Amino acid sequence: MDFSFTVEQEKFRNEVKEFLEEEIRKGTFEIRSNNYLEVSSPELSRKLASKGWLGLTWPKKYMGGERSYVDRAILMEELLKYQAPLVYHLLGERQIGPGLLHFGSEELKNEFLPKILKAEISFCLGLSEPDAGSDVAAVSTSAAKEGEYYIINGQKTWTSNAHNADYIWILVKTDPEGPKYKNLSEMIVDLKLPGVTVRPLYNMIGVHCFNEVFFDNVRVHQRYLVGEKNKGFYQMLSQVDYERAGIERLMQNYPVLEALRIYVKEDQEISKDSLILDQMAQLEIEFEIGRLLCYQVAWTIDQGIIPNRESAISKCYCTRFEQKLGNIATQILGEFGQLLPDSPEALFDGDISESYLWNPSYTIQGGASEILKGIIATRGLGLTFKKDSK
Amino acid sequence: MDFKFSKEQKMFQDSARTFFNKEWSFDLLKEVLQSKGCSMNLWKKINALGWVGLLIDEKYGGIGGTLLDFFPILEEMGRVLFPSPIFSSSIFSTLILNEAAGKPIKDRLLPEMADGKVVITYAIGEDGRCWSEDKIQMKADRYEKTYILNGEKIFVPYIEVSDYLICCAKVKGVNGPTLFLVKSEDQGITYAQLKTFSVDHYSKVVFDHVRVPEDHIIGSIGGGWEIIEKALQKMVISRCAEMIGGMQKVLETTVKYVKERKQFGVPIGSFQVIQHYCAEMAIDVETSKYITYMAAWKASENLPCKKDIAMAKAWTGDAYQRMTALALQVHGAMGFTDEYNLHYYYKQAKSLQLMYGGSSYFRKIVAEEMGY
Repeated sequence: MDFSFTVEQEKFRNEVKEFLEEEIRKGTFEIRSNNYLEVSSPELSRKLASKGWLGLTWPKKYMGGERSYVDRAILMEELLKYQAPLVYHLLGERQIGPGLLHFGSEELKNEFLPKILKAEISFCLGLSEPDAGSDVAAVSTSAAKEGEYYIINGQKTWTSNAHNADYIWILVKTDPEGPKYKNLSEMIVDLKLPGVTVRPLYNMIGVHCFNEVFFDNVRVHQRYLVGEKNKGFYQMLSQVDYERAGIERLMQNYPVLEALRIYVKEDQEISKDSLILDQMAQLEIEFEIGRLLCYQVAWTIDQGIIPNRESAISKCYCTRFEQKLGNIATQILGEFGQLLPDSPEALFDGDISESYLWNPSYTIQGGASEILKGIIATRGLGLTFKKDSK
Repeated sequence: MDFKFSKEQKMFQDSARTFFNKEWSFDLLKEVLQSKGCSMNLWKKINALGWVGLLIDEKYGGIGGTLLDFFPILEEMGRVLFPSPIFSSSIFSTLILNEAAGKPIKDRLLPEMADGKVVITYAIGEDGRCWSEDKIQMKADRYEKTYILNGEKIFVPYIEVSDYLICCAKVKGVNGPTLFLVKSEDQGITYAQLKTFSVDHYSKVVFDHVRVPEDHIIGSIGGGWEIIEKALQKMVISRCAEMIGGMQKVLETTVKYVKERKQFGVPIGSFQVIQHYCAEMAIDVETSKYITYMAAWKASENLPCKKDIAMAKAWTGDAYQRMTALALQVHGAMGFTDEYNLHYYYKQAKSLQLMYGGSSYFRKIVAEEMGY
């Protein structure tokens, strides 16, 4: 057993830290909760790419770093501490690239992997639809074969970053007669193709970060079907573990924790309040545990094990922590806990307050906690669903 | 980073599991709970296997291992609820002697402890809340080359089977408590078992003019607390290992139960709520493991770990309590019976959550370590 990092890993962490602190000094970006997913910065993504920090775990054959997932977790931890804007490259680099590595043809790998690695293109993910959220397999966007092309019709929703992205990775129904779960395929669609419309959606913070994407007879060449036709659902299952596994599930509102620590320390009254100190200690404990879980998931992947159970546990636990953090932080701020960024009296530029409004999304996006608990129970503990039990 | 036991640790764990599966049962547990609190027969057996002299140096007949080396067997003991003086004697008292006892005492007692012939317990806490220097009231009055101890100690473990006690008392005019090694059969020592629902035997011990020769002082006069602190932290993290073992067994038992128990024509394990409860229990086990292992690893590497140990104890104690309560809920009335034996885990979980200060006390330590 070993809970230390190697000398190289510590060096790497410092390198990333120094780079980010320099960028902050230059004013490249500001530290604000949720910014890692909210702000698209091709410039920063390209800087990270030029350092070889994108595709850290990808095989050298495809110009990746062939490094461990623990190394990647170190990189992500530091990036998230500073909330560096990552969304431009993140979806492509985190799960679409690995999806192509596992299932894509050489042609597709050569077409997309280098561009993802260099942050020359941006991807978004089209899974959810109005009638298909947790029940992902219920997607009805269709892809009907016509010669060498698929004609896509339908609608995706909650599509983060579709308004900035070049491509969308979608799950579509390629066999309308086929049984559920075995009738879906994954495809890459150029968002500039005729028939594609992206319409903004506004979340409860009033921010535009996700979209509806409509497909009206969009013609996509068959070579953009990834992997095996009608095996898309199962392919996707292996990709979502990457989405769930990361330390970004713990640190989406990390600036809130930092701000809270400072606030409590500097306040004469609160710094002596034993109930508040008890809460601060509990947050500290829970954060540390979350961090351990995230590194454990990374380590599990490095052992060659698919982290179904581990990433479900990790995301379920970590997002619960994030919500607890926001709930407690706002309370410790008292009435000021509701002042938004444009209010002059707001503390910490309203970050704690505004971040609280993002809380509900954490346990829903990327695998709702209820689904994750189901995975823990079935994949992890061997229990079966009611309909399978008789 | 490496989150798993080494091959050797895994082998040790497998041997311990085989041993306890064969030698221990709930019937035996019930028996010892009514009597001495521990099966000395089995205690001698595991000593013969060399399993509990782990922290004793090789030159005294021990293994000279680290805290982490101990973990596999501690988990297995927690798994089957094997009550024993391992924490008080093989861990706490051994560490005290290692750290601060003079050569004569070490030469005489450590080999006997390694052989399982001598068991040493401790008598430190007095108010049942937390261990603190300020709270030590027990007096040690010097008379020529002897000290006379007067006072009361509470939650003294396994005195029924202990040959010695390491006590903490204040010498008049001296700042800070002093540690004394006292024979449990010495005149003036009386005890009464505390009636708890714990799986461990704890007693209240009264010291009435107990005479201790000055060469039975451990460490320096007035220098006892620093020694106690260090050993206490290691004992605390060791109990977290015990908790983890128990938690894993409770989870396994619960999963097995919900697969078999049928209601409404189907196993209750197919109901979503039950599945979610099991998932929550699994999260409690998983999180407790890693925070505990990290703290134990740091302790074994002699890295600063006061905060880590406090975090582990606060979390794991709450987690064990939480998941045993949930396990009982899932088992329905069955779990509530004496016969089903699940209740022992529920009781031990609460006992361990409370021991040495309770979760809020350990969170206070975390807050202090955070600089508040």
